[in-house]
Amino acid sequence: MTIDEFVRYVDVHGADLERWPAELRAAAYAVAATAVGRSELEAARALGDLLEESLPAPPEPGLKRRILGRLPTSASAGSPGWLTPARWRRLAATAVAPLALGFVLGFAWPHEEDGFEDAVSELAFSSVFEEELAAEGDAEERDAE
Amino acid sequence: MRRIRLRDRAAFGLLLDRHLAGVQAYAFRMTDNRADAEDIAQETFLRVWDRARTFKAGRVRVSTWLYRIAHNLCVDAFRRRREVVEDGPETLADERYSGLPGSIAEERRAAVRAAVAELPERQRAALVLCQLQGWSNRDAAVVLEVSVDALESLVARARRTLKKRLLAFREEAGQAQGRAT
Repeated sequence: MTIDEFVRYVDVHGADLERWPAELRAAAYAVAATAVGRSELEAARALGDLLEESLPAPPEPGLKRRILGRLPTSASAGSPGWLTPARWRRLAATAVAPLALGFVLGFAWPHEEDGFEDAVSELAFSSVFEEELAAEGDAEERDAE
Repeated sequence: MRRIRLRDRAAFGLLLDRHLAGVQAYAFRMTDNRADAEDIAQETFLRVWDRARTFKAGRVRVSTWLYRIAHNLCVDAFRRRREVVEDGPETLADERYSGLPGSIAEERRAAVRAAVAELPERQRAALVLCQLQGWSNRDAAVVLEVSVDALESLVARARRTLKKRLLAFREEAGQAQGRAT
């Protein structure tokens, strides 16, 4: 590594050679051991120190409290906490699964069996039919009288 | 972030504990204005709370995402300030650095702050992240949305400019001291 390259790398990576890319470090330490290299590193360190002392971070203990105080207080103010994307997907899957199962069963069921639907209806509504027939019979009898 | 997405305030408090000071320091070093820095830090975290669901874990680190938001808010602040400066007769930089003459150390600090404030905003951001916040060039490049090569060029130019300006300041201060004695 030449002195010019070293100076350029100091501008890019700073005065702390440990923060330089690993592949440059060995050559950098060799140049840093020379008088010119040492002087360049000292100048870079002085600049870093000057920046550190000139641009301090301001302590502000109350800011965290203020930020927390600005958060929406109710779940409705922000996005609803209970309806997260993951829960939304689970809900949708729960709703769609029975529908899909219904379609599959509907198409897979043997429709060609004669009288099947009638048999099902009869079975399901037999008691209703019986009651209706009985009611009709009673009405006819009353009319005849 | 997963807990913050579920609106867990305790988790958000932990995020504040971990990153608020750093974000605020970054904003302060970028804007050189305490009130602006507080506003930017506050707005950064409120946006994180609002947009936690858009955060893609694995694609970018939380800290990188935070600083990218903070950086964009700093840029907005610069633009607003530039409009104020263009509209009004006074310049903010002059106001900030035209205090009463103090010790040489104070003058030197003021000169450094003035020199940093005069850097183009991307150079300043690159320098603050890498030199003062201790970020790697790779991570700083992600925050500023530039390539690592571009980031390194920004940092190098910033350091060279500062060196020149501070050398000039040192010479001026030396001459002034020589005249005084």
